[in-house]
Amino acid sequence: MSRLQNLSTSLLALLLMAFIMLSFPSRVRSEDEGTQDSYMVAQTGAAYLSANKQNAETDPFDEDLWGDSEHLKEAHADDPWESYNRAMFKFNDALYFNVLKPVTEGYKFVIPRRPRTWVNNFFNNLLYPVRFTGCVLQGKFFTAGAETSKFIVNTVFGLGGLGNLVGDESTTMPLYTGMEDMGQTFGVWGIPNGPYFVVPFLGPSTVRDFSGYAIDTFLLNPLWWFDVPWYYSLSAGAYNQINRLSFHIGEYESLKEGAIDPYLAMRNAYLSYRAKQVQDSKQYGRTVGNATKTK
Amino acid sequence: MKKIIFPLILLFLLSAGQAFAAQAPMERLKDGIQGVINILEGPQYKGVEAKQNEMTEKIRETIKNFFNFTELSKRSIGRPWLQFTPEERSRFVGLFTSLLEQTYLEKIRDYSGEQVVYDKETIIKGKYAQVDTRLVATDKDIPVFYRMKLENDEWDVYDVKIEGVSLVNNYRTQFAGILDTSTDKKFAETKAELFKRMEEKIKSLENKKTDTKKSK
Repeated sequence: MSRLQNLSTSLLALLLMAFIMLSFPSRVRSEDEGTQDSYMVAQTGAAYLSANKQNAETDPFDEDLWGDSEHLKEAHADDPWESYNRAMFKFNDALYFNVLKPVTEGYKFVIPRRPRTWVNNFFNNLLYPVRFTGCVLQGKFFTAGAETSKFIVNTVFGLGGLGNLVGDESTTMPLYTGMEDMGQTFGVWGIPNGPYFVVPFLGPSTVRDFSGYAIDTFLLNPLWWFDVPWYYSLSAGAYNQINRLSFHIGEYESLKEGAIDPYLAMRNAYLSYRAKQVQDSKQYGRTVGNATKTK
Repeated sequence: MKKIIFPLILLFLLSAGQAFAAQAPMERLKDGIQGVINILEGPQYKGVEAKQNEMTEKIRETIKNFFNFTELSKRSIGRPWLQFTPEERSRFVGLFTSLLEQTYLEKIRDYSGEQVVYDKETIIKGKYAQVDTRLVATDKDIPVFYRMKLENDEWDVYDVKIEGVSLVNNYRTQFAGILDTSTDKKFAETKAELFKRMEEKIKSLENKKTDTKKSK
């Protein structure tokens, strides 16, 4: 018994050590690295250029010129369930305009911006296990460390995550601090999107992203860990959605307004956005891989 | 003395060459965007209800000056563009330009002093350029990439990319969903369909605008 206890204590100590080790160097680096964003961009740009200099053609429709072909391939739509998807898109659209939007606008009217930010921070902080797991599974240990220190600071000093003391800008190195999730991790591993899939209530997804989402929600989201009735977890989740939407009202409308075919516009926007997230993740891996090699 | 004169002449020639060449993409974009911001912030328009239409008109002209709507249309259609007749091309450019104007000109008015940061300029093959910018909003920066093409000695924007979503690519997906190039007959039919839908869309946007104005 005591041996087991010893083991668990040392395991805990080891984990803590690992966390500190992981987060510490990134902090030190932040001071001498300077403007991270531009560094990252420069790296990506250089990689694109060198990869595509040779095959850049004068074909006026060639997107390869920009090194976009990988991105376009990743964002390419495979839509065998189009008729179902279109029907579900209509359903979600009606739901948005008749229920979600009025509710959210009422909520936004009553609750000022700052408390809504706190709620947003709280839920973001709570989703730390999702991001941490994503980082670890993609081998981004520095980002995992940064996420961890951020989680600890915000939880301990930020009133359980209401405040975002660390912020997003203070992260270090060419760290990719995008919101990691399981769908992205699958993407980084090279698993393709699979068919495009519009989920009732939740909106656009793909088979890959939706599988990832299920894992994120039921395995990695602490809301579902404890022995609380499912409807509490569900309401908390729904509340989070409404709160988050209160910052994004009008975005969907803009996309829809200018579209000749809103369904296709949305599908392209979703797939392109996800492809970019996956690409950034991969690119980050390459950049850091090269950087450590040369150092 | 001779030793100095030669480099001086060379320098002079080089700088003269520079003066004749086009304005660099980033500078050109900066001037264009700043021009729009100046109109928006102009004291003669800001908050003056009666002059809003005049302001929109001025913004439209400014944007037309540094956007290449022909290139934008061409790329949005993609390869089928090569089979469009010159009349169809100019008709499409007109419709698409007006669709984009109807959609976005109103939105530009929501501008409330956000800053635009110009990060980087990449030129490929001497005639394509990408300028990476960021729109600094209250709680986060939104990266916006502009793609530009050198035509008639001027760099003009032909695509805007935000968060991985490209304007041209997004519309190309939509147009490709309508256009069917498998046979000549189908192509003619779907082309007519495309023009019809563009016109309907523009009409509905116009109606919406007058409706909201009435309700105000």
